[in-house]
Amino acid sequence: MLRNPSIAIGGGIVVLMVLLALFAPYLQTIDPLSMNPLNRMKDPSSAFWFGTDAYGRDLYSRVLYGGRTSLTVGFAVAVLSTGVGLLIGLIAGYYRSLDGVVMRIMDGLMAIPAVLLAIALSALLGGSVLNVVIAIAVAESPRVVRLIRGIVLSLRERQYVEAALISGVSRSRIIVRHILPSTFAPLAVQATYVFASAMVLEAILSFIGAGIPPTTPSWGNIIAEGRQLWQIKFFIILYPALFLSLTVFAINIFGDGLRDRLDQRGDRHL
Amino acid sequence: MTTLRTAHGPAETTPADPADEVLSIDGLTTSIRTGQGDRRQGEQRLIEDIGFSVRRGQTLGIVGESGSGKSVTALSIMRLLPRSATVAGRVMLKGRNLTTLSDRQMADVRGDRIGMIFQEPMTSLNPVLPVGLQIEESLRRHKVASGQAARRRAVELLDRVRIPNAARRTAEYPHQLSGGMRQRVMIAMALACNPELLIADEPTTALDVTTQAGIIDLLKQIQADDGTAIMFITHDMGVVAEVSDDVLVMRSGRIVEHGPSQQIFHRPAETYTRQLLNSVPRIGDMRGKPGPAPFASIGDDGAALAPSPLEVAKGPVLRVTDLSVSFRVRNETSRFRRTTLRAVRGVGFDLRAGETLAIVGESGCGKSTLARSIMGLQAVDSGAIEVAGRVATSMTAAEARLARKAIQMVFQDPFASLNPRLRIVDSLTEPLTAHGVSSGGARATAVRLIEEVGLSAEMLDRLPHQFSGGQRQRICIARALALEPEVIVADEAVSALDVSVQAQVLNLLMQLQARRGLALLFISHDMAVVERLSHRVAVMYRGQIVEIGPRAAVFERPAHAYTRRLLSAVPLPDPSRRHKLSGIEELFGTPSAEPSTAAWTDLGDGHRVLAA
Repeated sequence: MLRNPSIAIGGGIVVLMVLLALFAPYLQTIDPLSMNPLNRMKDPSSAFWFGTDAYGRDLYSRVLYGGRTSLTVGFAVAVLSTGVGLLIGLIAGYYRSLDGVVMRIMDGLMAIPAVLLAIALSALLGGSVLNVVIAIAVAESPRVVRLIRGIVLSLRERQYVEAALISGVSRSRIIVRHILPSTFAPLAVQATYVFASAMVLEAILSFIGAGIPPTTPSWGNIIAEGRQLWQIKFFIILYPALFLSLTVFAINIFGDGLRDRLDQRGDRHL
Repeated sequence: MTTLRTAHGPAETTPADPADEVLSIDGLTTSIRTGQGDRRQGEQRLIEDIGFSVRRGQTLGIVGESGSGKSVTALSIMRLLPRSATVAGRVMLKGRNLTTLSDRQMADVRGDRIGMIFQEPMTSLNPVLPVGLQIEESLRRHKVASGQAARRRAVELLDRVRIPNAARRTAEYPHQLSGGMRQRVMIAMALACNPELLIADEPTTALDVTTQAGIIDLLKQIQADDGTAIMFITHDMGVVAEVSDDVLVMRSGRIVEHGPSQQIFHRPAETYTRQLLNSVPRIGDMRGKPGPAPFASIGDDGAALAPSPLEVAKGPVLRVTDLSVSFRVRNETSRFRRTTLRAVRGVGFDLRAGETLAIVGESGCGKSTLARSIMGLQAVDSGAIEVAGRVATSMTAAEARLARKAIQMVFQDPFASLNPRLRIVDSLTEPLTAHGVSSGGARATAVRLIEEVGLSAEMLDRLPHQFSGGQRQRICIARALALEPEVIVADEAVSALDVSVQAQVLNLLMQLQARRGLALLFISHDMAVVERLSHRVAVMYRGQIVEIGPRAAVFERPAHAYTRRLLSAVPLPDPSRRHKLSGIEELFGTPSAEPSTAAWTDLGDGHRVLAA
């Protein structure tokens, strides 16, 4: 598994980011929420590694804690939307009578740009980490549904599924035994893309003020707060943006590697 | 038989004129690197020390079962193998050694000096280009003709392969043509540059028998006209006997036997050749025999067993009455309009315990749809299906599930009908646990079943990919038997298997039938197999049964024109009983056919035919 460079490098960076976020309380230098007007907009130095923001808060500590929020949102959305997407996709794919209705709803959701949908939902639900997660998950799920439905549609025509049907195996058991296991590999790959895309969406929501409230630092709202000052003190947005981009990139190449690795059609059997 | 062919008859009678030698191969050995990266496992020999020659106007048939190296031989000659393969030996085409040519020179030879025809014409033709253009491309590539001349030549070629309205057909795309027509286009492409050698790799395997007869006919005609040397690769002994002057039998990458056709078929020197020939069912073998007969060749099973003549004691275990199935399909002309395709039209028959009823017909005749409807996999429009006395079509889902315990199915493709992730034991016990058998009891049954189909109990914990096609089909049969059914529906159950394996699996089916008194609905396109194991035969054509009756009656006194056509198109594995040239013509297009509302004519003894 680690012989695949995409998986090794991407996975390595993701693990590093997770560790930084997990151990933020031990790695922080100054409380990320404490403001100090005397230290406003300080350049990076040995006291303030990444400098300070307009309120004199230490950016290094804020970026560490921001990672906690951003990664949590990404992970939660990935789990939630793959879970929901899998369930709906299985139902739509296997119970043909529900397919039309379910898929038209999904088409409707997909017709609205994900950002707009997330803004609308998060405005409706109010800003909190949980609500942001729900808003993004709703926007991301339809893609998972469509993926799973497609897989189920091809699997249900397989001869071994028909053989099971003929021998009286119940539909729910056919789904669990013959269909579900084949969806795991593509689902895992899709989950990584959802993870990355959710982190970007979170940043966008925070950037326009519809995301995580400013009391909880996230990479998105750190960038958002620095947007008025970036022409004077560019580092205020540089570090959170760098962490965000690097993490998204790492997750995406990890997903690519995973896809190559799990692809059954590869020439492993030749 | 043309004068050309007789002039270059069997090698033993006519001394070979070296000037006539088109292709001569010596010590051809192909190996492939296995494994990759740091898991390199070394080399595997695919073919070893292959040597033969083909003369002008001669057809060399190469036969062998899957994995015998017959296709690799062709690809080695054409140098179309992947980079990981290395080819050693000498391949001389008209005195020119192909193995020493550069890739560019070789590309000039391919399509120009050597033409090639593959098994599946749909995948060998470019789906987005009109067929005429594809032929022109070949002409331009080899600088035979260009511009208007190429266009004219393309039409000539299509005409030559007997495609009607050739000028109009050049503008059509591959999907608009039937399988047989596509293969004709492939032949036209292969002939575009008047090659000296034509390599045909299973060119008729994907085609129906009547279409196959037309293609074989065409190849013979072309050879008679141009004196093209043909290398004909196939697994079908009947086809080989039909086309070949000389025959080369291959097994595991080596030549087993090589000689004139008559000698190979009538006086085979090698045991393997004899076994191969014995596994091939021949039409007419069963003349005068009362019931199905197992194959004697394999020795292990079968020989001991002689299925008793049918004892008809009870009423039918499966009764199909006036069954009709139709599909709504997209109209060819309008995206929004749909037309009804009537796949099965008013089909009815009875099947009794211990009896085998074969349903024969060509692709698209509705035989698989019929099987699927009987199994409840396909909704029916009208008609009734009675299984073991219960009407399966008018029950609730739960009742139907119980009723269908009595009828189980074996599918065509043994590689697709077992879940690759489940151990064999799980596939075998699944039907049992679904009907409430405890897991311990189910396991015991699985052991009994797998032994009953000739495999051993320690194989139960393996995964499907560890088995060969024949073994998998045995496992599928075991699974079908798990619920102790009274009827087994076998849809082309042996057509994906090699002949020797096919014979074994057929023997197994006959054995199980005799032991358990099973009724077998055997759906097949293979007339010879059908003759071997069925008690009664029903011929399907365009969704209807056109003739049904005892096997001997249908085969020896076919009453319907279609049945006669089907029977006469089957190639016999006997070179002395070849078909006459232009005996059978392929029917082009779709015959204008609304079902004849004609009545049945009873010819006695249950032999009935639909009057045309």
